[in-house]
Amino acid sequence: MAATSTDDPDKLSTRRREELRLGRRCFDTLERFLEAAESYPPGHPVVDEALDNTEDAFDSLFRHTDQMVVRLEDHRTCLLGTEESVWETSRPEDYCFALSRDGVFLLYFLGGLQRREIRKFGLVLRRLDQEEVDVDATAALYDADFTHLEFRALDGSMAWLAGLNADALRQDSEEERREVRELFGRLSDADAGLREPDGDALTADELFRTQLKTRSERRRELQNGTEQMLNLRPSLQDALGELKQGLLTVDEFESRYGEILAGVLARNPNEELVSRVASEIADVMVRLVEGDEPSEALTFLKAVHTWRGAFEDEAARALQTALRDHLSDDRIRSLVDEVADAKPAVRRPILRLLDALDSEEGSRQVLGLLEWELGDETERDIYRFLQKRASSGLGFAGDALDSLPDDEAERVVDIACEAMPETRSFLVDSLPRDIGEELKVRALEALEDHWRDSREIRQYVLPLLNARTSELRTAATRAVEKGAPDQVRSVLQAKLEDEAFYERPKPEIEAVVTALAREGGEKGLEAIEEAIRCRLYAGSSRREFASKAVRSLVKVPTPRVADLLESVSDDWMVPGSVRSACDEVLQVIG
Amino acid sequence: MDDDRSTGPAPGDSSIPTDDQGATDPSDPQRFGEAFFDAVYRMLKVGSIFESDQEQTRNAVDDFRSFARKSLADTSLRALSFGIRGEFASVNGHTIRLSQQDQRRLRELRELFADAEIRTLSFGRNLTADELVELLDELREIRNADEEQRLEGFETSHLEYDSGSPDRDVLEALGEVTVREYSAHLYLRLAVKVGRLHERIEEESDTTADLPTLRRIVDRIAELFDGDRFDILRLPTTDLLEAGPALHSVNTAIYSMLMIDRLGLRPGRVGASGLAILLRDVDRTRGVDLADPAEAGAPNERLATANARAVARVSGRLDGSPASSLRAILLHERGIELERTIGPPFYKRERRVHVVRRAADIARTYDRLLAGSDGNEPRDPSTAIEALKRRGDSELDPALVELFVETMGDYPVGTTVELSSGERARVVGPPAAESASDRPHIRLLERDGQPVVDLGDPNYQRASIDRAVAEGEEPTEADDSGDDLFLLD
Repeated sequence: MAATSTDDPDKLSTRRREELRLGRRCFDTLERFLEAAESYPPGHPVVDEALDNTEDAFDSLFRHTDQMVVRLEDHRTCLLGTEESVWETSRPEDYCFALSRDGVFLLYFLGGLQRREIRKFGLVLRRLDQEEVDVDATAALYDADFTHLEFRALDGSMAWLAGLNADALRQDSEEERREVRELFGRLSDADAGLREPDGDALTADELFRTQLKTRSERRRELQNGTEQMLNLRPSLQDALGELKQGLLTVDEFESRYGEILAGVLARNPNEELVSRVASEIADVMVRLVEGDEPSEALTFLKAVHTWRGAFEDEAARALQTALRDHLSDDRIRSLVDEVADAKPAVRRPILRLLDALDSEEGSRQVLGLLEWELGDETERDIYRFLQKRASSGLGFAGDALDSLPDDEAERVVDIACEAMPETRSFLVDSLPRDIGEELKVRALEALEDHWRDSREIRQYVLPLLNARTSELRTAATRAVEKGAPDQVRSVLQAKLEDEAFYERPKPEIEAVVTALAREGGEKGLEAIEEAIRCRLYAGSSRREFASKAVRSLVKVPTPRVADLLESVSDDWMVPGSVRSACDEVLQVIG
Repeated sequence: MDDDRSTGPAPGDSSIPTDDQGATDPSDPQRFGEAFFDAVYRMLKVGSIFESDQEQTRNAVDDFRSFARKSLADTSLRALSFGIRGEFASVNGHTIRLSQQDQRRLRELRELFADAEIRTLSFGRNLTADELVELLDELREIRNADEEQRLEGFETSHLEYDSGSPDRDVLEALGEVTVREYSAHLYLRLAVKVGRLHERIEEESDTTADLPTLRRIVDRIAELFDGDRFDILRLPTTDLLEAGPALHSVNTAIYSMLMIDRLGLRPGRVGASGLAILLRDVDRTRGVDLADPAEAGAPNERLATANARAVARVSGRLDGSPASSLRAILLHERGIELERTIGPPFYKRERRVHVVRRAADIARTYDRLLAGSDGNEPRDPSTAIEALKRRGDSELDPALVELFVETMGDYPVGTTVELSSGERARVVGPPAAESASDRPHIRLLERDGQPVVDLGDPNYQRASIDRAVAEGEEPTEADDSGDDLFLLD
C-alpha cells in the first residue's frame, strides 16, 4: 500500500513535485501510525514513535507549503490539481472508500496541524476502516471539530445542483426537497443570471479549490480583522477587537457559559436538572480538552468554580462525577502526552487541570511519564504535581512503582513520606512491592506511629524481618514494636536463640533487645537475661553479642532492667567483658 | 455486462429470495438496499442475456415486479430508486454497504449504466411488466450497438431515469454549479427547514430540530462568507418566501453571521453564531420566554432568576457545542441593556453583553426595517441602512453598525438604484473590500442579458450611483452621454 504515482510527475513544477513527495511521506507515516495503533495500546512506545514520525512528516510538509489539499477517490487520494496519487490501496474497503462513500471529496491539511489533531484524525480513520462499525464519515469529521484539518463533503444543495446520487440528498425530507425545488424553480425564472457564469459567478468547483485563506491571511484576519474592519476608524476597530474576544477566548466565551451553567446549579435545581447541567459542563470541558489549547479547560473550570460556594453538596458531587465520566482514558492520554511534550506554559496548566479534576487515571499516567527520558524542567513539574496529589493519598501510584526506575521510585516514596499521614495506605502498600529495600526502610520510618493494627503488621512487616539488609530488618523490628507490641515476644524472642543473629550489626541487635525489654514482658526479659548471661567458655562472637545486647539496654532504664544487669554483673561465671558492659550501663541508668 | 457466471445468477435464475420478509421493508435502508440491489441486478443481468420474448426474461420481470410491489405496499414512498456513483450503489438515496461479491456485481451494472449514460432508475408504484421489458430491450440494444448510444427519449409512466455518467467525478460535476445558485439553494433549504420547524412547534407536533443539517447549512454559508462570497445576501430581499417569524429568524442569522465573519473569526464560530440565533428563535417560539418579557428591565435578581430559568428549560437540548453555549448566552443576557456591564447576579465578574447578542440586535432591526413591522411600511435597503445608522447612536452597538454598513455598502444588496446615466440597476453584491462603500456590484436592468458589473472595477470608474429609487418610481430622463458610460475603454 505504498504511495505511488499514476502519471508522469515530471510534468509538475519542482515545487509541486516536492509537495507531492512530502505529502506521500505524510500519508505513509500516517498509515504506519494507524497500523501501530491497531496493534498496540495507546501510549505504547511503538505508537508514540509512529506518531512522532507522522508529525515530523507534516512538519516537513508545512515548511514547504502552508496547506496540502487532496482529492478523495474510492481507493486513493490525489494531490488536488494533479492526477498524482498521494496514497492508494488495493484493499476493497479502506478509509478513502468510507470517506468518499459518505460524500467527502476534499481534505485540507493546514499548516499548524500538530500531534493532537493527527492522533484525533487517526482515530477517525481507524473507526472508518473497521468494516463492522457503521460510522458516517462526514458526521465523524464534523464531530472531531478539527482546527487545522478541513474537509468538503457533498451537502444536499451540492448533490442536487450537480445531479449526484449521494446520501446528502437525504438531509432533507421529501416534502422539504419538493418545496425547495419549487422555490428554486421560481427563483431561476425570476433571476436569469442565477445559473449563468457571468463575470462574477465562480463555479463551486473553483471556489473549493481557492477558498481557503493562506495562513498569513488567516492570521492577519484573526489578529486585526477583515478589510472592512480595517477601513473603520481606529477607535471603532479597538471596540470591535474587544467584542471579538467574546468568540475568541475561553475567558470570554466558554467561561461565560460555564458561569451561566454554574449559576443554574447554584439556584437549587432538582435532581434531573442538576444531572443535565453537570453533564453539559462536562461536555464543554471535554471539548476544550480536545481543542487546540487543552490547558484552557482549567480557565473554564475556574469560572465554574467561582459559583462552587453556592452549590448544594449533591450538585457538587454530580458535577465531579460528570467530569470524571466524560474524561475518557483516551482523552486523558492525549492530555498527558502534552505534559511530556509541551512548553511550561501549556504543561503546567494541564497538570493543574488534572489535579483539579482529582483524576486518578490522569495522575497514574503522569507518574508513568517518569519512565521516559524527560527534560529536567518537565521532571520538576511532574514532581511538584505529585507533591500536590500526595495530599489525596497517591493511591494511583502503587502499581506504577514497580516499573519506575530506582531514582524515580525513590523520589515518589520520598514525596509520600513527606505527605504522611495522607499517604499511609500508599506506603503500606509499597512494602511488599519490588522496590529497593532502602525505600522500604524510609516507608517504615514514615509509618512509625501510624500502624492500624497487629494484623497489618503481620501482613506487611513480618516478612521484612528476614529481609536481605540489616537496615530493613532493623526498621521492621522497630515497626513490630510500635505497631504490634503484643506480638513482640512471640515474633522476636526466637532471634536471641539463633546463633546467626549474634553476628548481626549492633543497631539490629539493639532493636530486637530493646523491643523485647520494653514490650516482651517478664518472659522477654528472661530471654534477654539468658542471652547475655553467657559463660566463660563462650566463643568470642557469643561474648560480643552479649556485650552489644547489654549496651542496648541503656535505652530501657527501668528498675527491672537494672536488677537484671546487677545480677549478671555479679555472676562470676560471666565473661569479664560482659560484666564490664553491665557495670557501664548500670552507671548510666543509675 | 459480462456474462460472468461466477458472480451472477445462473442464466434464467432470476428468483429473488423471499424467505426473508424483512428484506422487502424499505424502513431498514441497509437490509432493504442489499435485497433491492440483488433484485435489480438479477433482472438486468437476465435481461442482458436473454431476449424479451424468452421465458427467463418474463420470469425475471415478474419476480422484480412482485418484489417492488411488496416493498411499496406499506410505505409512503412513491417509487424505489437505484443509483450508481462510482463504486457506490444507492437505494432510495441511501448509499448501501455491499459485500465483496456484490461490489463486483456493481461494477457490471456500472458498465451497463455507463453505456446507457444513466445514473439512476426509479421504479414507480404501478410499474408494468411491459415497461420493464421495454427498458431491458433498450439497454440490450445499446449494449449490442456498434456505435455509441445512450438512453434517450425513453418514456414510460412508472419508470424514470436520470441521465449522466455513473462515473462522474464530484469536482467535475460541481464544476457546473455556480456559487450564486449554490448560495441560493442553501438559503432556500435553510428557510424551508426553519419554516417547517416553526410550523411544527406551533402545531405542537414534532418539535425536534434537525440540528446536524441546520449546522451543515450554516457552516457552508459561513465558509462562503469566509471566502468573501456574499451572493446569499441577494436572497433576503427577494419576495420569494412568505414573511414571518421563521424567515425573519433566518435573515437575522445570516446578517449576524456576516458581521461576525467580518470581525475576522473562523467559519466554525461564525456558523455556531448563526445556528445559535436560529435556535434562540426556536426557543422563543417554543415558549421558553413566556411570562418573562415583563422581566426585562426588572431588578437584577428577578431578571437573572428568570433568565436562569429559561436556560434551565432548554438544558435538555444543549450538547456542549459552541452553538449550545451561544444559545444559552443569548437567553441569559436577554433583557439587559447593551451599554450596561453585567456583574452579579448574572456573572461573578463584570462582563459586557456578548457580541452575538449585539450582532443579532442589528440584524433583527435591519430585517424588520426591510420587512416592515409595528405598523411601519417596508423600507428599501438603502433607507433601512440610513435608519440603522441613526439607531447605532442609541439602541444598537455603534461599532458593529459601522462594520455592517461598511460591509453592506451605502446601497445594500436588493436596492434599486439610478445611475448617473439615468439607467436603472439593482444592487446584487456588496462593494469589494477594497472598493468605496458606494460602489457595489450591480445588475444593469435595462441592458440585454442584464449583465452584472462591479462598480469598484477601475473600468467603470466613470459610472456612479446617483440615488436609490423606490419600487415603481418613474425613471428620470436619461443622460445623453449615458450609453458610453460602461464601455470598457
